[in-house]
Amino acid sequence: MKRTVVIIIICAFILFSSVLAALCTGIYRIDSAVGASRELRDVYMYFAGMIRSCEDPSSVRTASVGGEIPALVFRTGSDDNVSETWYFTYDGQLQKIRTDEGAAVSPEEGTGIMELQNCDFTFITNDLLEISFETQNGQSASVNICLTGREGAE
Amino acid sequence: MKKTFLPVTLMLTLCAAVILLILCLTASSYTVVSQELRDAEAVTEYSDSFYAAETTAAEIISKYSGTSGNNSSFTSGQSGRTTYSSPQGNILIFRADSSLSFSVPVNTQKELDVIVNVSGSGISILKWSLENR
Amino acid sequence: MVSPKRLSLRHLRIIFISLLAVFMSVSITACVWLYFQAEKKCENAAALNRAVIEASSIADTLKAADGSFSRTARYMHGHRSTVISGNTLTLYYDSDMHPSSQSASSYTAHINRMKENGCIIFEITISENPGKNQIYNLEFMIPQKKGGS
Repeated sequence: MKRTVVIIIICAFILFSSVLAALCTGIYRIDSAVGASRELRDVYMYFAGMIRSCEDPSSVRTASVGGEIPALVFRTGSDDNVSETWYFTYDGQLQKIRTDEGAAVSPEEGTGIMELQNCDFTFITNDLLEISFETQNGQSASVNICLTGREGAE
Repeated sequence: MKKTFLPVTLMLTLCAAVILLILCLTASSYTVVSQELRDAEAVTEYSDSFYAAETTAAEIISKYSGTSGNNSSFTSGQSGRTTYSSPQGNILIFRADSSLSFSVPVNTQKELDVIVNVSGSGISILKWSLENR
Repeated sequence: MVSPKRLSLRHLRIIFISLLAVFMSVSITACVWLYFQAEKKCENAAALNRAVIEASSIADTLKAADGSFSRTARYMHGHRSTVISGNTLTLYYDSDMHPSSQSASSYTAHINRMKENGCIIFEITISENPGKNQIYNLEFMIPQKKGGS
């Protein structure tokens, strides 16, 4: 009788532990999924907001940092005071550098904006920019953003 | 009975405490996910508002450039100025020679600023960007 | 003869264990319910995020392509399986909202096109397969510049 009670208690404890372990695993999985989804949305909204707010879409071009890292460059200013803002990924982050036009750009000098594994920029047409990116959580997406009014060859 | 009661009670109390902890974690997770769903819905609303503003801009350009042949939505105002009735409210349109400029509200913080040049050869967009209101 | 003091203590012990058992049952039930609700909301939020991003991408591509479906299908990255039927364009996506074939698709994007008063009106609907459960719907308009296909 005593042995039966002990066995029942042990089985109940194992069942109880299994249910709790499953719940904890599920909670962790949900939190990770939420983080991944939020990251993807934040990256898209950041790029879309930045590009849609650009007053002169003709000033936007693609380039590369050190000939290797894809970058998106915004040119601002006029005549003597022209500056460029470079966006690229480095060290697991989306980086931003503001520099004079034509100045050399070093990836280590960037200011981190958000976590982003890698990012590529391609002009499909004069006014359609394709941004392919991968977040730290492994989520990837390729989005097209229209630069309405952009003229000139890329 | 007395000898077995205490350990059994302690074990059950410990189990209850663990369950309470898991309940708190689950409730916290539920709260986070609910907030995330609300954020996603807010982004949806913003996206709808942005494209609705672009739609209004397209309507204005189409009507002013004469491609639609229907000017009934325009109400005459001062010289060089016209108002257009839209879902975003009355839009003030400034006309100067062949250029047309106006702003369509997207939400309480942003508006779409548009400057176009309408000529015989077609429509040329000089500015189409989001600005702070 | 049992003393009254020992009897009431025994009752208290039974009541305590009963309350503990009730509390544990209610808590486990609440945990399980909250967990399944959270999982469902998480899936909905992820699908909505993805749908909004993709619909915006399609909309911008349509703008750049002047409303041409053939050019839009070409400009959309990775889409090999598209269906153009009159004024409807259909794109297929897998469970991660990446381009996929029709047979392996979990999501579908239907784009309807109408011409009205010198403008082209588009309606983009992202829905889940099977059952066509609509996730997101976007309508917008572009000025008609040239004839599209």
